[in-house]
Amino acid sequence: MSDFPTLKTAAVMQYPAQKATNYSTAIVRFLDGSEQRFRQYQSALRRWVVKLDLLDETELHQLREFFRTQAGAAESFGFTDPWDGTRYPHCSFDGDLMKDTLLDDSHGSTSLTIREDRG
Amino acid sequence: MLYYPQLTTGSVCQFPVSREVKMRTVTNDLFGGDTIRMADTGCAAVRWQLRYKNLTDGEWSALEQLFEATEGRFGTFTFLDPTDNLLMWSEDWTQKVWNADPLLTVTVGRPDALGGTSAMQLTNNAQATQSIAQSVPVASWFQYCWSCFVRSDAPCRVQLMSMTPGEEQVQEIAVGAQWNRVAMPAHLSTKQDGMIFGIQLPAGFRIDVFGAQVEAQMAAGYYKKTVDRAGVHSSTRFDSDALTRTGDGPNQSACVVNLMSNLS
Repeated sequence: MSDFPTLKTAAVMQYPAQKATNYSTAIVRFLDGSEQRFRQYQSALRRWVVKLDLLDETELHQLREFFRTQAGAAESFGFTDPWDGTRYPHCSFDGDLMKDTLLDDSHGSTSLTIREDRG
Repeated sequence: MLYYPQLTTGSVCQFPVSREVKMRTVTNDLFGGDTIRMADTGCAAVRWQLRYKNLTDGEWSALEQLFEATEGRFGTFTFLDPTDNLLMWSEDWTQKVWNADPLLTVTVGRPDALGGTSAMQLTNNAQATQSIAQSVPVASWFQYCWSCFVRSDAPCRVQLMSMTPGEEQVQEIAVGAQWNRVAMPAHLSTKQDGMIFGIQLPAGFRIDVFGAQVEAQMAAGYYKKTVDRAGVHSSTRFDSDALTRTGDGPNQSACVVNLMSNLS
């Protein structure tokens, strides 16, 4: 399984960077105001928003090719969380669309959202 | 065959360029957070938005003629992606798209110019010049730049070539011990569909090569690695039935062109 590519600086993300931890809770509310809660996820799932700017054409092309070979959201890949260095082996793109803009040959930008999947 | 025109500068577009790749995945989300996903590869498409300023009347006319020939979104043409490499398998010349002469040996897995091991060693075992080349379905009369990284343990001279039936351009280059990116601007006068880009080695020579790239422009841009897909989109369409020209002055026009092509 392939890994999300790094930039020439060996970084995977730039500031501002976002990371979210997601749970899923089912709530049943009763007429008397009480409620029961059910845990639907056995453990949390992570999500990262990777916003990249000032990429050169080589870096941007590498990301485009990676997105294409992953068939958008269809395939799984490994992603190393830059905050704590943990490698999450089962991740995928959270969407089938990748937009990018080249202002000049060394000023490309794009944004991708990566989600952790269950193994 | 119809081709999206180049500007008089030899480039296909101006900055900024926006590009959008859209895939389709059929997803079944389960309560526990598991997902079952399946790619619908037939739906994959790429879109470009090209913004032009200061077009001459001739450049505008070429765009307008193509738009009229395709009747807006109806017909297709070949578009050479200005953000991509027009050669396939830029780091693996053992693939079928590369045609090597019989006595030219290609060895992969050599140290490359970017610190990896994706270079190839070309060895000419013959008593005559041998070549390796790739055929690309592009217009022969466009401006191209063919480039690659080369080095050799023993200094030598090799030839970069670009050709189409009836015409050939060759440029001799010196190869030294250090990695060097060499480039050859190619511009043929013959009007043919299809061109061949390659490299010729004299008898008995051995060189390391890496990062083959062809772009539809005057000079080499940043290197872009390709595998099974290159930047030649032979069934591209306009993504709009209207093409609007803004006149900013005599012989100065501006417009925005939206294009789309399937990726399947």
